[in-house]
Amino acid sequence: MAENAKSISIIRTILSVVFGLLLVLFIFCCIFAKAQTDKSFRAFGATFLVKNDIDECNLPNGSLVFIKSGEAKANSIVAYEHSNSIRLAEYSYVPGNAKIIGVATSYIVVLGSICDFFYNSALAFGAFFVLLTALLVFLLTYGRGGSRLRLQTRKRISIQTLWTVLTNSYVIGFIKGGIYQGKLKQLCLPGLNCYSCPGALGACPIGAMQAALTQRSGNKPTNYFPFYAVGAVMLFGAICGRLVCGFLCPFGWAQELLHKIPAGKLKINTFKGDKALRYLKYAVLVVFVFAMPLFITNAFPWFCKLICPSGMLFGGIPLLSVNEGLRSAAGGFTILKLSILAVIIIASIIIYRPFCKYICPLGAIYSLLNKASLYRAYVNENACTHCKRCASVCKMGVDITKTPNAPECIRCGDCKAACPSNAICFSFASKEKKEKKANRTPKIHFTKKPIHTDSTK
Amino acid sequence: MKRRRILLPIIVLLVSVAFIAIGIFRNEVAVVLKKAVMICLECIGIG
Repeated sequence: MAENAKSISIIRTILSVVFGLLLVLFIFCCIFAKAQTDKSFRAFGATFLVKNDIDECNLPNGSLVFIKSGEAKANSIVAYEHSNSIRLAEYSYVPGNAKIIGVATSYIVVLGSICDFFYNSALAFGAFFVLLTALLVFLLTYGRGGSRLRLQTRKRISIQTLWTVLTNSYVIGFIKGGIYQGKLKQLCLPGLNCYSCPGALGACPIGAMQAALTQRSGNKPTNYFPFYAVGAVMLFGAICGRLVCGFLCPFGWAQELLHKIPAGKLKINTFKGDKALRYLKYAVLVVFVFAMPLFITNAFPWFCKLICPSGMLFGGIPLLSVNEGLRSAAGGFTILKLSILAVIIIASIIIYRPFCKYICPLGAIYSLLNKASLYRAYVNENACTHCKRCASVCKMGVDITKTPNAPECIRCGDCKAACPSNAICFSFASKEKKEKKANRTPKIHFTKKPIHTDSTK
Repeated sequence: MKRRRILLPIIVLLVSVAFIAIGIFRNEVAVVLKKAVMICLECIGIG
């Protein structure tokens, strides 16, 4: 028994290290390699020795030269060379009106070249999926047996995984670098599932809202309210509230898995300003999802364009990795969104579901509907012993005994599993009926700790 | 309180169904489909 626990611990450690390395490689390749072939390379510390309109110059050894063609698309790089001197006229593939737009010094070149190699081969793409696989393996080996709480978590993550795979099962998209284009795409999915994910079989509700609001007839918006997408989200919300966040959101699933990575004392449950920061998601919903697509003349889905890390994780990275044409078109916004994704990934390891808590506009809508949903939480006050175990295990920071259907509750069921007196239940049924069911004698829980006797010692 | 607890979800459900019906009537489904079957460049950090 003890040997089994030790081997699991070793597997966990190895997988954590492998995962950590893959994560670093992944972020490094995505951000750095993309930066190398873009103007915003300056932001990463490159020293530009020459600028525009120079067609001949002397450079230090190992410099990387960025050449921009006047005939090519704005800001695109048509060629780059490692050289200590360069004359544009000598390069047949550069048109006569080309310009050198920048030169980077050697240490950046070394780092950039390594990243470029990974990024432009399929390795970054591979690393991304190996990373997810490693996470899943890690999850499956994460302590066998265990308490009701652990079993509940495992059950929930299995449902999340199954749902994510089911709703993103168009495998051809991942292989060919395209997306599913069938009629199922007109249906809104309940979670934040980007419709540009190569495997996505349905539409993202937040994207659908913005798509309706960005319709224009001349300069005037055609729709002032996205009835269809809001109606779909309200329908899901009215049935089960934020249960969608806890069980059916692919990005919630990704954050959940990331939070499984051991980070020791770095992990935090709450911090100063945590509660105030939770209102940010409502501001994001109003400003980026409704106001900006509706009132700004340049009709863009602004939330998707400037913030959404889910689109970058499930849509951007797989598509950019496989589709050469899209990769060549990537630029400043790619860097911005990759950086946001990197921040969310790191934050998810430290904080439980930071995107859901503070930014997600879909979570904001569902949280408003949490009190008005058919599926609800009930607390049997007669059975409750006020031990506060439910509040201590809740990673969303909810005390269910005070506010059973709080906006922040994602109905994960951890509190129910942790309750020693079975005073909590989640159900569609009426409170009285459930109270009757919940009012049982407490169960006795057995732990799997080894029993030491004199003979075994 | 109990009545409110039952009424509120039913009202929200009815409103949501009405919204979906209005959306279908206003041809928003076609707008969503049109957007969803094309690669959304804004979503993947290009547009």
